[in-house]
Amino acid sequence: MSEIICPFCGAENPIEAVACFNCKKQLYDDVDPDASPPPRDEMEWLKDFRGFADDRSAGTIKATEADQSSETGETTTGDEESDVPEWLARIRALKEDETPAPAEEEPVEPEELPAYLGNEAELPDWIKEIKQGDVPQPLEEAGGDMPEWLKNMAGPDELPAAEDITPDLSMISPESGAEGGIQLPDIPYDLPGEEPAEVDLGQFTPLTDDTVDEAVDIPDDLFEAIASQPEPEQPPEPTSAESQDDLDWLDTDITQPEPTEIKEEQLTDSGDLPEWMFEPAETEADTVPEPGELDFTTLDASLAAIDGENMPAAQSEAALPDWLLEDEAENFANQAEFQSEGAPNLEVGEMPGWLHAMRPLEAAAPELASPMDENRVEPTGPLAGYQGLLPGEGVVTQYSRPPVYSARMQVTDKQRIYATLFETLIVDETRVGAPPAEKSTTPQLVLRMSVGLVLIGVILMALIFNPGLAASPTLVPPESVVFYDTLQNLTAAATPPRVLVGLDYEPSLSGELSTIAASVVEDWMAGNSGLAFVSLNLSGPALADDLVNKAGARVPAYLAAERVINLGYLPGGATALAALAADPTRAAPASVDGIQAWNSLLLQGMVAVSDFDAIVLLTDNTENTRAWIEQVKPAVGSTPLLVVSSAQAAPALQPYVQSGQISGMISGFTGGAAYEQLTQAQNGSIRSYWDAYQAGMLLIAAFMLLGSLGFGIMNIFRRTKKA
Amino acid sequence: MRAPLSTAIAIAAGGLTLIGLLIPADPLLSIRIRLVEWAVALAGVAGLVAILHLLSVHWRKLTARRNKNFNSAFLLIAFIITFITGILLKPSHPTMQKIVTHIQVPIEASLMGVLAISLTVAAIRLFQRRGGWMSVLFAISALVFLVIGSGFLSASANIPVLKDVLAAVIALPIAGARGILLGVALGSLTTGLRVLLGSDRPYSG
Amino acid sequence: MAPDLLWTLIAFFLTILVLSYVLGDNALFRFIMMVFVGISAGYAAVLIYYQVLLPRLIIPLMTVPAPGKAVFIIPAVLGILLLFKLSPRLSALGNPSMALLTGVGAAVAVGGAVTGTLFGQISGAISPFDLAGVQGGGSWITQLLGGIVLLGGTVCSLAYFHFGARKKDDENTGSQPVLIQIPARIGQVFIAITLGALFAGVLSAALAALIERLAFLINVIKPLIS
Repeated sequence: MSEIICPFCGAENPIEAVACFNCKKQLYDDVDPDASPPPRDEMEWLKDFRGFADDRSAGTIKATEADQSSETGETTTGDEESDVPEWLARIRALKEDETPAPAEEEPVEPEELPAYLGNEAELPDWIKEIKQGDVPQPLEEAGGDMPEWLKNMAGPDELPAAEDITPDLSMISPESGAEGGIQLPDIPYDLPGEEPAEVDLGQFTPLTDDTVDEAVDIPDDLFEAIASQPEPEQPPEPTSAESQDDLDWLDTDITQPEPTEIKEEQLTDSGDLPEWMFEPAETEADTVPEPGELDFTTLDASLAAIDGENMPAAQSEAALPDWLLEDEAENFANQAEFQSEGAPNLEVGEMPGWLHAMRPLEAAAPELASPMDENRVEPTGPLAGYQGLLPGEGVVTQYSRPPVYSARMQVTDKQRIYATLFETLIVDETRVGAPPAEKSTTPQLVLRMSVGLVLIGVILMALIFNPGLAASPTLVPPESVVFYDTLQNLTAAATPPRVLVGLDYEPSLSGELSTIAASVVEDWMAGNSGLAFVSLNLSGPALADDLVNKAGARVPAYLAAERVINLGYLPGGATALAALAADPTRAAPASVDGIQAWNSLLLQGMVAVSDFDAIVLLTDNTENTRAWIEQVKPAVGSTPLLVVSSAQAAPALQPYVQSGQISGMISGFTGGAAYEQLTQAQNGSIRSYWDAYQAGMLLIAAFMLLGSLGFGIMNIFRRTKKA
Repeated sequence: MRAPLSTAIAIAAGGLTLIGLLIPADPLLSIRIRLVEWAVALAGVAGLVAILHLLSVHWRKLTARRNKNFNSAFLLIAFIITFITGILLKPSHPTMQKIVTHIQVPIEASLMGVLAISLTVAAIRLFQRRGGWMSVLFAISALVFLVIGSGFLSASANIPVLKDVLAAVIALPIAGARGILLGVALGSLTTGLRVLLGSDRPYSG
Repeated sequence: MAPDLLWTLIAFFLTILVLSYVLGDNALFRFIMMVFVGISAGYAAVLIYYQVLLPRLIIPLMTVPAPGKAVFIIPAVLGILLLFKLSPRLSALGNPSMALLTGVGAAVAVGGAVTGTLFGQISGAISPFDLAGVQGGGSWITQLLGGIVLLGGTVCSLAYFHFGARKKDDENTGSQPVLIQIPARIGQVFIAITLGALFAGVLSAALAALIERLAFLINVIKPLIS
């Protein structure tokens, strides 16, 4: 609360302002707009306190100009010495207005009073006098009933240096009242447990010089007693913020230009303040400082507001203890806020520790919305000039700072833990994992290149040099023997056989099969057999012609043009074989050359496949062989079905051999080599490839063995490592 | 029912063919033969359709607005030259046969030779990934038959025990192959019956 | 240059280019593949025209007299309808042709499977147990033992291809009956052995093709060197 809202225009003004900067109107009724705020003096309260004491005796308040000016650097005037604390003046003013004369008031019951005031017999005389309405006598007149703290209060001349004085605030307690030591009023510790009623101190107007007639007499030895006390425990000095907070309870009503009424019962029943503080001022000129101008930090001001006759005489300034002279300006950063408007010469006083620590429970209480001030004159509107009206525009424009609510969500630790766990779960779901690193294909390429080069190199060496190290196979499969026997039997017959040759291998394996079949076809040609070629694939007719040419070159006596006919391509796979088996004359009516095949010399008189002496199948796949066996074999009956197969189809055709559906079979280079062994061919094609073939096969087996062992061991190590 | 006409044709044609096979007597036999001949002719046309489809795909690749594949042009040019040459010279002409024996055969046979190297590399890396007992048995079987097929053990023909062992080892795949053949035959039988009964309609696409 | 030499050189360079794939894929390899597919397609088209369309459809329609022409009109019409399979919108017109092909093919397959493979292989599986023709003392034991192993292996291999499972009340997934599981495990052994033999056969055939191609290259280079 460092500003005051103008009731007329609603502009914000500093708290120390007397007139509004915007509309130039007085912010307070009783303030002289030309009067400057009195300079603050930390020792002003004490000065006034002493001033009251002097006035009580001499009717004036003595001020120690030298000491105070040395500490505060400010000069004091005679007017300042007569200032009464604003808050006290307001209280007194309220008492005047609402309460009967203190003299008519019955003394407070002992049980209602604070402890230190409980036993009336133990009360100091000045307090008694206050209660009774008598003018307090100087301490030296009061005698031994003087409280110790007042007796020990040193005069101005006896005041030690401020820095040498460390007040023992621990002495400030109700229990140590009559036992000795400095006995300050235990006002802060005797606060009742219940919340005291709100006191709108804003209604108090500051005391001016005119209002204060009598000063409070403070015994001179009070200050000496205070100075002689050992250094007490220093309470933690409030920071400026704390001091600000501490003063917030004082601020509550400071900005309210219209103080509210304070009932006497609120003040007296709560026992917050001693009764002597409520003695009204005798002069009507007593003014209660405006709320914004009260200086509650100054005990001197408060004491100045007290009726001078009830207050003890002020001690000389020289006897003031240092702790009273301490500069507490650093703890109260905004002491300018509490400048009393009605007392421009008021010095900024120091708030003692006990008062600083005293904070009413309603320090943070919300402010009153619109304080009432009966003396307020309505400035605007149709009711301008009237007093005691409800606030109109002024109240609307006056606002207090709204409470600041923290926008931060209040989260307990448990909730924070749950939220963290939940966030962890979600983060894992949304986190995009790093893509797996692409495996390099270089090792595979290197391996393939190295294996290929080695294999090709070995084969080339074997083909070029032909060492003849590989022994010809002596172990001949039985089906190869049957094949040979059948062929020999047919070719040895009187009538040259007519053989249906089914050519069902792809150009990819023509190297293997043409090499193997060349020997077989040579033997058939050697027997002057008639050969009718038929094919189930598109390149068959061309391959058949090539085979015939290759084999015929080795048998010059064979008349291929007359003894060989190429029936061409039969589309449809098994369906075509079924048609061939059913009626070959309609399934393959013409040859590749366009000649009517079944009218030729070779096939004359033949109407069915069973008319052939043998069926030789050159195949590289199991499916076509199965189709021949399923479709043609049943139709040929006992006609032998001889198969020359590639090594890749041989294992799957063995069941047909074992079951007798295939009469004889030669499979792969091994079977061809075995057949050449059987026929004792000297210049067989397979023999020239045998070394390379055996070396290649063994090399592949070695590669496979090494690779399997190597990778197998690596896998075992990897598994043990994982385990 | 989808495509009722086609389904009826399939069932009728298949039924008549099967009956003609079981009862090889006229006129069933004649009908069967006729149907089979029609199927053979249509199979040839189907092959032609496949070739025309291949050409259309590469034409689309060549004439596409984006990502043109100019290699398709070589394919189309080679086809046109070969087709025109073959139509003019006929398939039996030596030139047409040279196309097969000196272009198709070398290329396809060389590809098969490259396959030998690739299969060897695959055999080396057989256990690069974790393998079970089936993999081990497969590898052992392949090794044994590679050695047997190379003829390296032919010299052991005179050793009686080794000869019998080799004969037994060579006969072992027959059991598995027979099981595979029987399974394939049963599958063909089942599929054929489903088509003949109209349960499967692969022709209604 | 002799035509044969020209063709030989063409074959030589084509072989070299394709074998260069061992060193890695390259643009020339892809070019050769495209040319190869085109040539193969062209040759196939010529063959189909001369081997199928002409003798089976076109010539009969042109030469056969009217009463017998109906027999050839039907496959001709079906063949024309089959050409509509090239068009996505009109492909349904080719369904009757495909239906005929499929129906006849299914019937042929069914008949062949029954009479050819099933009967024949079952007969072959039990033939070793026919000991009447066995000669010698100890050979019948060997034959019998061999027959048992073959028959058992065949049955177990067939059991491996049984994919039926029955779900029990206390199980979430079905499982094969125990009578099937044990033979299936044994059948796995025989199948693994058979697949190993097949793999060795493929390697052998591929090696033979490689040897033949390298021998061709040597045969081309040798005369040039000498």
